[in-house]
Amino acid sequence: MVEHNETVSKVLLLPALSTSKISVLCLISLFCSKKLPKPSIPPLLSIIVHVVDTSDTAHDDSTLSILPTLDSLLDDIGEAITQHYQLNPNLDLLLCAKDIKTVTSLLLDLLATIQTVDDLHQFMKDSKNLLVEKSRDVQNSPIKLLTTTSFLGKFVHNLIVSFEYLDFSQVSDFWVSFQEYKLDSKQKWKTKTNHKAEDNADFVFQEKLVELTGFSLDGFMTVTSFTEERRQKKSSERTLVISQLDISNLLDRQIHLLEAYGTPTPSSLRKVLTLMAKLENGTLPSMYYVQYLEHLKGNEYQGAFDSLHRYFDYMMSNKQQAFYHYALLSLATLHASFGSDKEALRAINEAILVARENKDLNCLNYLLTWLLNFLKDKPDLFDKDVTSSSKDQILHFLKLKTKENKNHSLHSISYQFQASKTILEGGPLQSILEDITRASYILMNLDFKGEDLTTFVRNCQLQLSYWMRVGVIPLAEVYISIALDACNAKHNVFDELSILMRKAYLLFFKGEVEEAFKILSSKQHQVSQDSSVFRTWNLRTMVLKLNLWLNKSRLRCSGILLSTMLAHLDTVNDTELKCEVLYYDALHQHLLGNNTEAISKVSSLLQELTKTNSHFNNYWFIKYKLLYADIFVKATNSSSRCMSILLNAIQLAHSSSLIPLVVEGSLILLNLLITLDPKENYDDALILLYQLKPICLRLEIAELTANAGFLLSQTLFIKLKTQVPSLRDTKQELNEILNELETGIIYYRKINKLQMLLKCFELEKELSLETGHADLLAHATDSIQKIKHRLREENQYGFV
Amino acid sequence: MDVKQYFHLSSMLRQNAVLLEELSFYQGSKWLLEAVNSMQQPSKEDQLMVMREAPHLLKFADESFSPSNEEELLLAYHETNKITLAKTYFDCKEYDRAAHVLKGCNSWKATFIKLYSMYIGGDKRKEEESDGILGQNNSNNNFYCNKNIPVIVKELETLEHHKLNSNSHLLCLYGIVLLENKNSTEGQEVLFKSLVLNPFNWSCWLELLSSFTSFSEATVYLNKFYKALQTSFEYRIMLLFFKVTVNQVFFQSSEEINSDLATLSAIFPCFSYLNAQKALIAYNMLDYNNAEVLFDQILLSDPLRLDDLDTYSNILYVMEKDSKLSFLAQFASKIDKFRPETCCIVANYYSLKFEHEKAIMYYKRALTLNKNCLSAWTLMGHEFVELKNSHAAIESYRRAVDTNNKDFRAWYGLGQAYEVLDMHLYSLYYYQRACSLKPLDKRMWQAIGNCYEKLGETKESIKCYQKALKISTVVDTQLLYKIGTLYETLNDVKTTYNYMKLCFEEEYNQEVTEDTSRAKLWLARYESQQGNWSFSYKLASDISYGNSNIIEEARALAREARLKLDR
Repeated sequence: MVEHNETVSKVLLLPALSTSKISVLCLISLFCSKKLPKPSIPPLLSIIVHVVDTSDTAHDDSTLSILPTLDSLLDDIGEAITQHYQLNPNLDLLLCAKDIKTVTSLLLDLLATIQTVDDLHQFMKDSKNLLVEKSRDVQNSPIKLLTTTSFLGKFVHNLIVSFEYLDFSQVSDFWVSFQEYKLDSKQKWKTKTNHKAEDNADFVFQEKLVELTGFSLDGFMTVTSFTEERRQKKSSERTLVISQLDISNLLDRQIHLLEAYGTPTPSSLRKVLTLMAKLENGTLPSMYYVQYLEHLKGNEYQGAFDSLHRYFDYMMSNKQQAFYHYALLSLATLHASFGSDKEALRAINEAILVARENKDLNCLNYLLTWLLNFLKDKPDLFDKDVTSSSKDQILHFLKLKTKENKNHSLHSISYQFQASKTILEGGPLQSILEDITRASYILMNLDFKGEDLTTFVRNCQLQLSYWMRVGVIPLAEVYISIALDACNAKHNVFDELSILMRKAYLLFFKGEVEEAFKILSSKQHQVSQDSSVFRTWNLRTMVLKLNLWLNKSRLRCSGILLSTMLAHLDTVNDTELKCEVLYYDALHQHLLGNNTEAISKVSSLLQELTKTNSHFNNYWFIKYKLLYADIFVKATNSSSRCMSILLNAIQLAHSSSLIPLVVEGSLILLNLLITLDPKENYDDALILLYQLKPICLRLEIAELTANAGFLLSQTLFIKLKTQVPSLRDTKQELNEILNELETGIIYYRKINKLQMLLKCFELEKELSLETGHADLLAHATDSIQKIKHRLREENQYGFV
Repeated sequence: MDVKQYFHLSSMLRQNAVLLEELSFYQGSKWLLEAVNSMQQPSKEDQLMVMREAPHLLKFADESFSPSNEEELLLAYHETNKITLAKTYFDCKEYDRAAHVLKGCNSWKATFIKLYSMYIGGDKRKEEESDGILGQNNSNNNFYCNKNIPVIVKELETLEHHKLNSNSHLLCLYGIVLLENKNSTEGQEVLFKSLVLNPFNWSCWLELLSSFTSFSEATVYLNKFYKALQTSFEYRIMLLFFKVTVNQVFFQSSEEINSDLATLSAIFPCFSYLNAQKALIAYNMLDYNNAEVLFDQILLSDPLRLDDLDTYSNILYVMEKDSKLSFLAQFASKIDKFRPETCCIVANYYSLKFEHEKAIMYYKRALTLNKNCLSAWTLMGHEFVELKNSHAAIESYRRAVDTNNKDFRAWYGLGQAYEVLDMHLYSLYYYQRACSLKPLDKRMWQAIGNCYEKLGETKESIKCYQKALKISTVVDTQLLYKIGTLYETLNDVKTTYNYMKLCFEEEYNQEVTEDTSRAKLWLARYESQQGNWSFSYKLASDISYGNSNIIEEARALAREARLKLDR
């Protein structure tokens, strides 16, 4: 790279050509003229390939250099040849140095023959002779010829075309830069004066003229020499010739970085970009894309919009790379990320139409996948969007076409979609597992590329969230650690954060509240750099906090927190999160005692979910129903209606194997039963509770375990009370009750559920009164007092 | 503000405006003058009163003007303000505005600036209405004309006879508009009058020169000037400059011109224009070496002068000095990339590199920069010929002769282009036009001869070739052979024999060429027909130069003669 203390006076941006490419062209022409020593050919070809195929470097971690020096090329050559000799036992290592010397001197000699700008013209013309149209012309030639469609041929052809398109002043600038490139090298250039003697009079004239005017034209005179002297007086001003191709690749890499890592633009790249801005016609499309991404990251809608339009306006003129539908896709992404859903939908629909017209199936598949992903969280839009086909149709199409096109990544994604769709609809475990397994299988069997890792991580996320819902926590944990490993390998911050959020949830519900919040606070700094991640992250954190506060009965504060969350809810593209927040809203009302309000909220939520097929969310439907039943029973005492709701919900949960919900529903049901008629029902309840308890423990959900424990102790106490005193085995029964009660207390403590703790101690008090244990009574009374005190404190929390 | 303050302020503003204009701060100057002209004038009586008290307040630039009374002086004072303002408008390219501000002014200067602004403004509009020089509706088309010309002519004609005829500048303008109005005889006459009054108006000389269509026409005026301007030395010098330029433009060269040049060079040794004329004359005379040396000298003495360097690049092109041409192209680009001359040089450079498309691009650029860059039209025609695009070539050449009908190369090019299309009658006409411009160039006569030959007019053709032979400095064997073969078609064997012999004999004077070999072969064949076998054998066996056909035929002939001789 150029040292930045030098003044760069001019930047010349050419489509394919740059000064250093001339050296590569020299190498190719040496290769074609069969002058290179044979053992050195494979390593040299690998160097050429490395330079020619710049796309390869986009995923390479090595530092990219758009302006390699001649010295670095020579070093690379030496290194490659040495390595080749070392790896190949058949080659005589002693000859290695000789080969390096031969190649170096061949290359330098060829470069040295390019003494004037006319020599450069001639060299390019000669290089053109290396190219032939048809492969059969390649045979029967004393030198190697390249077809224009071959790998090297295309490269040479591009360079020549790029050179031919230069106008006069660009050629001059290029020549100046090329001379600087040669002078930058440590090589001692031989002074050759192979021009005719009669030209020397011209040289004298030219020298005089240059002296008179002070123009720096020494590279254009009839006789030119590269001497040490020239190197010394070389001006500090430079002309940079940068190939558009190189810089585009560099920017592509930058874009890749921006998207995946969220790193700031390196200052060196910024410098080059700023220089480019000086060029009148140096409009680099990718530059605007980078700007667009930066604006996007900074949540600057207008700037992002402008940059994106600029980017595609320039890309449109470059027909090779850009198509209208890609432009529209980006536009859709932009609109979507700023919440202009309708515009996004309009753009994506048109993109789909155009892609269909252009028969660009790859893009079409991607567009449809994007559409599904986008609409997944926007059921309202899906129904309004009459132009698009139904979800099933799209999914079916995708599954077929992605397979046909061998687009494995999208193929896998379409199965993931199918799975998540079935999950939403409350389909059976079997079909969901089938789809998930298919998705994983497709992913596992393809050659893994960088971009596929993201798909893999998403797949893991789907699995872990599903296992969490189904209640197989160990599996969920396995997937969390797998996904996190994958993210770390690729520094995929975005996905990493979303997995960590899930982990925090998991820990929270397991009762490891502090751990959960620790995770959340540890990533706070990283999150705050990206606004879109920040929103979701923040809301999720608030949800956990709200849960905790509700447990602690900090109802007033919770209300404030809830209103903040509700205000931000529209900006979030996550239906699950929305459902969750609304659930807590209703729960909050219930805890405040506003049962009518709570009931109306829940019933409207239930209505919302059943509005259309696309609105339906099985998990939350059951959850709402359970809440509804819970509130209803407390508000109205209409047990029969409540019972039917509960049974319905439990059945739903059972059919889609949502075990935690089955357990939760069952516990509510049992609670209802023993409240209705304790004496009649305690036997049945006990049977069920004994069955539920191990399930609860296996589920590792603290609240369920606590509920089960408390309910069990309550039921056992009822049993104790109903028994004839003589038949009692008081000690044993008391111990059993106390054990269960302890489980409840421990787990309620973990999740800070104060109201339930109070109930536990009240039960303990009753128990102590019934059994006459003074110690127990004292402990219970003391605890009750403490908890009541704490409850008062918590209720005042945040208010002076 | 009292009257004194008024005069004081307006004078200050104007003085500074004039200074700013001299420093080329046109916008600033314009602003100041607009301010002056918009000031609230005190009553005329007050102004006159102050003038009497303090006449120094009314100083203005035009020293030559001597008003007869105070009122006239006051009028002149205010008019000068307007003229200066109009001048800045003109400098800022606001021509109509300049003309408008001078409405109602009476001085000759105001009239001149007003009418000249109208002329330039009209020209600009004409240019805008046509699609530019490279468009279909170029401004040479009669359809688009300077719409202000009738107004200007009318206003000049309504001027007092004395006022117009005693002012060389107004006459010059009158001449220019008359020429533009295609009234060349009268226009030339008016320009002549103007130059007699004031021979130092070089622009006027150039306008007159551009109106000439032939050297004879120019000679008539030169003689007229000789009679009118003999009186003073200074006038004669200007006439000498004109004479040299006329001769250069019409490709003339003579001892007289050389001595004229020497005279002028003695007075103006460092005048680049003069040296350029020398170089151009040398170029016209095909003396490229000398022309190159002269151009080198010009460049060394005035290194940043781009004028005529396009011709210099033509010279280097013809001499095939590609590295020097390349240097010149770089050099010119460093001075100014966007000068038509630079573009022509670069185009020549590309032409020499056989990159004709790029050459055409640069010629077009040159024409966009200056519609009157006629060499670009001609050279672009040459490039199209190279690209085998005769139709485009014809159009380019046509544009060239429309721009300047004195360019023999363009006429010649038209002839060539039609020749390629096998339209020999057309081509003959154009070659004749070229020849009338350059009658002493044998290539012209050769081309005409060739056309006649193609048209089957052998006798005419022979005449043309003979004329060509006569004016050529060295004996052209190709012409001799050609004439010989033409006579052969007329069955005039004797004359044919003579020409063949002449041609063959040039082998001894110059060198062996294919034509001399052919002539020799013809003679050998002739001798064999006559039965002079030994002579025939001698001639035929001596042929060793030429294409395979000639050699083979010569060998067969020699063998046959040998056989005959052996028998």
